[in-house]
Amino acid sequence: MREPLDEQDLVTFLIGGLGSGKTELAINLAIRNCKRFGPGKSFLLDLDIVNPFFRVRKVREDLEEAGVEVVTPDERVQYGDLPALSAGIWSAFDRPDVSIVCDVGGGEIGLRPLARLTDLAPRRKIVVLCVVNPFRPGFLSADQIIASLKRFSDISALKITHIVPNPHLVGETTLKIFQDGYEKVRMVAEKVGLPIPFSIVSSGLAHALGEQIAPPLKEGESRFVTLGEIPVFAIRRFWEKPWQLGFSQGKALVLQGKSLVSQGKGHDSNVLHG
Amino acid sequence: MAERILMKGNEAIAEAAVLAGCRYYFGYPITPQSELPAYLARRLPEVEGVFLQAESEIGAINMVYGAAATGARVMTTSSSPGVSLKQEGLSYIAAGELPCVLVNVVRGGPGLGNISPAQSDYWQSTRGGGHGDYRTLVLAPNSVQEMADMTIRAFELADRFRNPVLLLLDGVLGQMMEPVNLPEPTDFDPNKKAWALGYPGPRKGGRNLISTIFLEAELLEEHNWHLYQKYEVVSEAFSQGDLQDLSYEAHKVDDAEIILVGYGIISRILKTVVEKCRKRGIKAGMLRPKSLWPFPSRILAELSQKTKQFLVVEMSCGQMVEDVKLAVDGKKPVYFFGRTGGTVPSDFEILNEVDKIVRPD
Repeated sequence: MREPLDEQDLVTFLIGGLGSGKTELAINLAIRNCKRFGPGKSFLLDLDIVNPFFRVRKVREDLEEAGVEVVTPDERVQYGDLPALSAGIWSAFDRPDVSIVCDVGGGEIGLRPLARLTDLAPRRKIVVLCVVNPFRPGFLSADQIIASLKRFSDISALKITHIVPNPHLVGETTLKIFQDGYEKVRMVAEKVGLPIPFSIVSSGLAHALGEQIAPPLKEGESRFVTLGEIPVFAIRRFWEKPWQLGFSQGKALVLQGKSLVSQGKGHDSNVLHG
Repeated sequence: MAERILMKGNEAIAEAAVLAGCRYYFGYPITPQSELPAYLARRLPEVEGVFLQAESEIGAINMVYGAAATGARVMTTSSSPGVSLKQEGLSYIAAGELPCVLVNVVRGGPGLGNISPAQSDYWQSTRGGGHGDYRTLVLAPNSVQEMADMTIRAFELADRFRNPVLLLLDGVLGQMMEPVNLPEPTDFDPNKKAWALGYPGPRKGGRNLISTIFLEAELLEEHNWHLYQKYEVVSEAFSQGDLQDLSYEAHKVDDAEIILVGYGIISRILKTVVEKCRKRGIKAGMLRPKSLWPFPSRILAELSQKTKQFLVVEMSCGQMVEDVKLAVDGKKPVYFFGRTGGTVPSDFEILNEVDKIVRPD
């Protein structure tokens, strides 16, 4: 089976509503590209000017370890609440030998930086994937999804080329929830005439589905597979428990700042009990 | 709307406010709460409500003051530095006995600080924050579902006690996504408040007046004692009356040798710690204040008769720990562990602290 988006010179833009799952897809896709095309050949560009909390920056270290080139705003301003894009994104676009995934900010405001990139279209092969979770407000009915797609199209300087269903309720997602949500998005895609290259499912659920997934997945594995007739991308979800984000291998979490060493300060009540 | 949907904490509060009958929102954007005004900017016009981005937080809170005086359900939201700016207006609203809901999605302070999650506005929230003798009711949800449910309750409490009610969150709660069942819409009629400006029913003695100026010392003293008595009634309702369900959550405290105390997002981590402790043979329990003012002092005093010690965990250098110490009143040791500046403690490091206390060698 040929995997979706399997071209080394492709630039993939991920857009969608706030909290639709763009960043998680971006991370997983960039890691897949790295496995596919080799270290140094997969770029992940952070174009998110909307939400400084859930950007790819926080998993930057993991990504770089995996061999992904991550381009985010300058380190000196990366924790500032600034709508800044890195100049590094333009040099990435000038390299035809690398695959590029662009994580675009949520909602209409997130699309505004794309206006800066209109001159890119004639130079590179571009796909614009709109990620849709039909369990999110504003995307709950076919009419709402179509209205949102129209708003995105009106603002985005780049044309939406594909729809990617991401039907989930985090830890509560079942096969039925996936199927119901998928069906809703599929009907919308049919109505607006846009193709669905694949759907997103968490690797946890995909693993639990066992042989319904072909080929079956190992636990924690992220890969393109099929669920019946549906091509799905089983992805690692990073933000199911956001307060645990960054606690990998028992490392202390520092949502901001550089220290990874626990610096919590305890004091007892000696004043009262000395 | 019984359908289960996936919402951010900030969005859940915004939608629940609309369902509670809130038709007026005045605010000013600040991270990490900006999804809240962004949501309402689109949603309120759909229900013929008013969304207004004021010129500043100070402008916004005074618009709340005006709208609340008419008996309407009104809300403003902000994050730490913005909430500091609102304190003068909040004092006026409390003095004028006006109902409103205020949301603080706390970020790292003091000063400009940063945009990461923190719990360092506990003192500001529970000690009044502004000037004068007054209290603000403070609710501290720990899940997206509770953010929706407590928003409805907050509007009810505000009307019942004619007092501002504060929802105290942190950046994680505001931003995180969880499945939620939205509450049923409330049947709210702003024209039933006999004290409000513009009340359409019969008014004894002419027009209603909302004022917070009492030039004669005796009159102001009388007003302050009147407010104080109201706060006593509120405290009573939380500690022994019909609002006990909003006061605290106790988890495995009955046989606990150590009780972990934390609110908001910390309580989610503490639950994990309790499980890990019990696997290691340490009898740990958790007490989560759901209401920070009134504070669940009574249950803490009761628990201090049973348990051996308390460990308070906060995303601050230690603020709520003072209320725990007041409640425990020296009967048992009260230890503290905190991370601050926008860091969230791990279950791992809290577990280490428990170990140090329970197994000192």
